[in-house]
Amino acid sequence: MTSNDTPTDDSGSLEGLELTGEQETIELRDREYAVYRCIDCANVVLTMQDADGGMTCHDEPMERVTECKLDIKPPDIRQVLLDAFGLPKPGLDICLCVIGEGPISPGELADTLDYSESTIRTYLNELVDFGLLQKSQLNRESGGFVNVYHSIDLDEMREETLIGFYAWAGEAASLIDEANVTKEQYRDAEYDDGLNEVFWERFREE
Amino acid sequence: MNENQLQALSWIVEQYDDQETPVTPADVADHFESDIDAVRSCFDNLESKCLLKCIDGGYRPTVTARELLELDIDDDTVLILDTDPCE
Repeated sequence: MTSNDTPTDDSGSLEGLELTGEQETIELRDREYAVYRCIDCANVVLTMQDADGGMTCHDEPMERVTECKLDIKPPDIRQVLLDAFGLPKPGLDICLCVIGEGPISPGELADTLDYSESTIRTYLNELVDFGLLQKSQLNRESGGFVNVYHSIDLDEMREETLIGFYAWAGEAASLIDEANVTKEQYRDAEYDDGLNEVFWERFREE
Repeated sequence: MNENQLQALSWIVEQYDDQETPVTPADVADHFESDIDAVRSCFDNLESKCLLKCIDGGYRPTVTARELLELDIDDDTVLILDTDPCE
C-alpha cells in the first residue's frame, strides 16, 4: 500500500528526508517516489517508479523535482486509510490479524481483536464493499450456507489501492488548485467580504 | 499447524477420494510429519467450520470443504468462514 512505503515518525518530520538550507526545503532526490514537473506548463506528476526513459510532457522530458519548499507533514497510515478510503482502523486490524491464520470464524476474530461479533461482521462486509476482501457462499450439508471472506490477490490489491489513492490524491490536488484559483480571483476582483469569507463560501457551495 | 490447514484439507480430500475410507489425524500427522496434537486441533477447527465430518472413527471432507478448495485460496491469505451468517 502506498502509505506503507512512506516512513513516518512522531516527531513531525519525515524520516529520511533531509531539510536543506535556511528555508527548510525537503530533499526529494532519494525518495522511493518521484515528482516531475513540466518545464513549459504547470503539469506536475507523481510516480512510484522511475519511468523508463523519463517522463515527458508536450513530447519534452519533464524535470525531476528534487526539493519541496513546503514543510509537509508525515502521513499517518490510519489517517490515510480513513481519509482516502473511509477505511477505519478496525477494518485494517481484521486484515492484518488473520493473514495466514487459516480458516477463522467471526467469533474467534472478535475474541482476538476484542470487538463484538456483530462489529466484525459489519467490518467484513465493509471490507467486501471496499474491495479488500471477496465474499463467497458455500453450500452446507445440513442446509443453508457458509460465508467465506478471503483476500483479493495481493498484487491486484497493491495496484488497486495505488490507483484508488492516486484518484483520491487527484481529487485533493484539484481542490488545492481550485483554492489557489479562488485566491487569485479574489486578488483580481473587488469583494465586500474578506478573503476568508469568500474562500469558505466558495467551497461550502460545492 | 495453522499455516497448513488448507493444505491438510486438500490432502484429506484426495486421500478420502482415493481410499474411500475416513481419514484420521494420525494419517495427516504421518504424511506431513506433524505433531499429532496439533493435527487433532486442526481437525477440531476444520470440523467446527463445517469442513470435516466425523464418521466411523475418522473424518470425511464435506461439500463445503470441496467448494472452499475450488475457490483456490492461497494459504497465506485472509480466510474467514462464517458458518452462522445472520443474513
